[in-house]
Amino acid sequence: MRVALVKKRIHTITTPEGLPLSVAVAEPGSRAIAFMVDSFLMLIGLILVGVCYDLCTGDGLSSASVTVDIALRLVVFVIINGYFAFFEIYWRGATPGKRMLGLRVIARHGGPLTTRAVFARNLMRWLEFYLPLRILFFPQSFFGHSPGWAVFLGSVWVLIFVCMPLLNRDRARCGDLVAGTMVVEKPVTRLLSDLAKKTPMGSEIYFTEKQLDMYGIQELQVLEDVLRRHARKKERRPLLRVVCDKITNKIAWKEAVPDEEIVPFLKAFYRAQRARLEQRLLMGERREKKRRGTLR
Amino acid sequence: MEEVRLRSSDFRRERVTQWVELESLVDRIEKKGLSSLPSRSIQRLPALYRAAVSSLSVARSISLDRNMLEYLESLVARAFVCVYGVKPRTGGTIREFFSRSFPAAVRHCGAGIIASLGLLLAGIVVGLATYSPVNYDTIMPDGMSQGRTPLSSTEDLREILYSGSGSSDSELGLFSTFLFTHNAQIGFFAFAIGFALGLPTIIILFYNGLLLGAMAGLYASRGLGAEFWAWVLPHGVTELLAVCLCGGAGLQIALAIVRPGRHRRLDNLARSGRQAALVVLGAALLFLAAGLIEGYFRQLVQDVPTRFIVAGATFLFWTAYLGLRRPRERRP
Repeated sequence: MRVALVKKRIHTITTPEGLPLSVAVAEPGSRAIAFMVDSFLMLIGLILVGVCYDLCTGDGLSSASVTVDIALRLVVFVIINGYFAFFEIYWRGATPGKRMLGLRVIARHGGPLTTRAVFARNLMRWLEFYLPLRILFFPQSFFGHSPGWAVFLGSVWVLIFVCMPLLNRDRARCGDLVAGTMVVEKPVTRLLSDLAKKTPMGSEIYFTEKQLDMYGIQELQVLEDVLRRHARKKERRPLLRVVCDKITNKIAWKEAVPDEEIVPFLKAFYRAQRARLEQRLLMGERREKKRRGTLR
Repeated sequence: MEEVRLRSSDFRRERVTQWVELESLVDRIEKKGLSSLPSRSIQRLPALYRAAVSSLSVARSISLDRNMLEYLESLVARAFVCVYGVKPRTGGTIREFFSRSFPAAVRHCGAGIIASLGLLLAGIVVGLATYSPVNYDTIMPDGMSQGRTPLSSTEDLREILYSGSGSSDSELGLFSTFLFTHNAQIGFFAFAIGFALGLPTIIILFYNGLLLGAMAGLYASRGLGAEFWAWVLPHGVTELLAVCLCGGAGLQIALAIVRPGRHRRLDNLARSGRQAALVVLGAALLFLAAGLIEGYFRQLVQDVPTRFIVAGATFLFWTAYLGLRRPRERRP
């Protein structure tokens, strides 16, 4: 279970069924790594094409070798322009790199991701990647004999497009803006056992409504987290003891809770507390936080 | 005191088998693709997805079990991608592309495309009108002129217009391929750079018109004007149109940023961007056609009237296909 304190940028989309759905916006770092993986794979593809070219077109003049030449040129064209689009269409929004990092492309407002959106976002790579690459390695071919200040201003302008993901809330690059898409993290949470289902062994522990009204949803879910993560571990006894003491103090629990009873007690309290809060939720009252002070 | 019943636990117990079934489907689709599923499972997918959607919305209002809520959120989000991801349908899409989506997208970007055509023509006219040997040397980059300078003899200039008749088929194919890939990538670039508020696209269009105009001016000054246009236009009509489509698509996204109209700026950009991408995709096919005409036809047919007839035919064809067609408009 993910720690709740890790800050993620959350974006809400609305599914065609009208359900608002929160998705975690992908971090620029993992997107950069995914892009590097994809570039590497593309590069391997291009190198293979180069090797083929050398092997097949030895003499360079025969009609067969020219045919191979034509085919390989087309393959290079398709790799450079079609790699990302192909995978995003046929692998449901993920290239090999994105898949490795657990990222997905989705339509920004929910709804289906269309082929044209995929093409739109990947055509923009000419502006975001190939152009900066050319400026970096062959500035002459782009700027010609322009004066230094023009080269500088032009480079800064292009740099803005490269840094676009850092400049907006959804971490959208230019292609995402043009296509109305965004890249999100594929969320994976496994279903754990229902904490409230297990009844504690031995005698049932009862709490009064007054006692259960001391805490709110936030504390309930922290308790859930603590129980899920630490209840099984012997060495976390002291932590559970502290939690237990705080609760017994706040709800004015008269009897002492012996060490071996701590987990059953906390589970029973969690269950009763959740029942109470959910009951009030049904009545339309959502109590978020605990009350101040202790029960007297 | 009687046993407390937790509604959320009962709810979970009733629905959990459906969730687990959906989860196993989604796991499998993520690993091996939709096509790996047996058809029965594919039929179950939408129903299970909708059940999970309704479970999530109920759970949000009755349950405080955080693990279960997070689980449902993530399950629905993952299933959402499987259900609403791109659906590749190759056959139907291609026919629909040519008969409807491409012409419709061209009309959507009409303003930008007409502006591009205007810029290109303006460049040609200015280049032609201001032709002089000095101006020609100033604007023409060395790589572009390929020996066609005001110092070249009229004979040499004429020879270029009729060269290539002795080439073999495969060489012509190679030339076509080179022209296609090279020009298409320039077109993609002209589109992408439209995002920079259109200014670079405007410069590219006007400047390319200027170069063509200057070249025409050079040939016209030697009395070879008609023959020059007969050499350029058979493929030039298609190629220049493709350039204008790409440039126009680029200008359209610039326009969408500058003048959003009644939509929000970002929404409008996304709307125009998707249409513009279709235009560019179609333009790539035009570049392919132009490359074939330039690579094969121009080298094989040396007759001036025939060249003009073909140029006129391509012009009529594209005008009729993109300009006059009025398919049924379908509101999305």
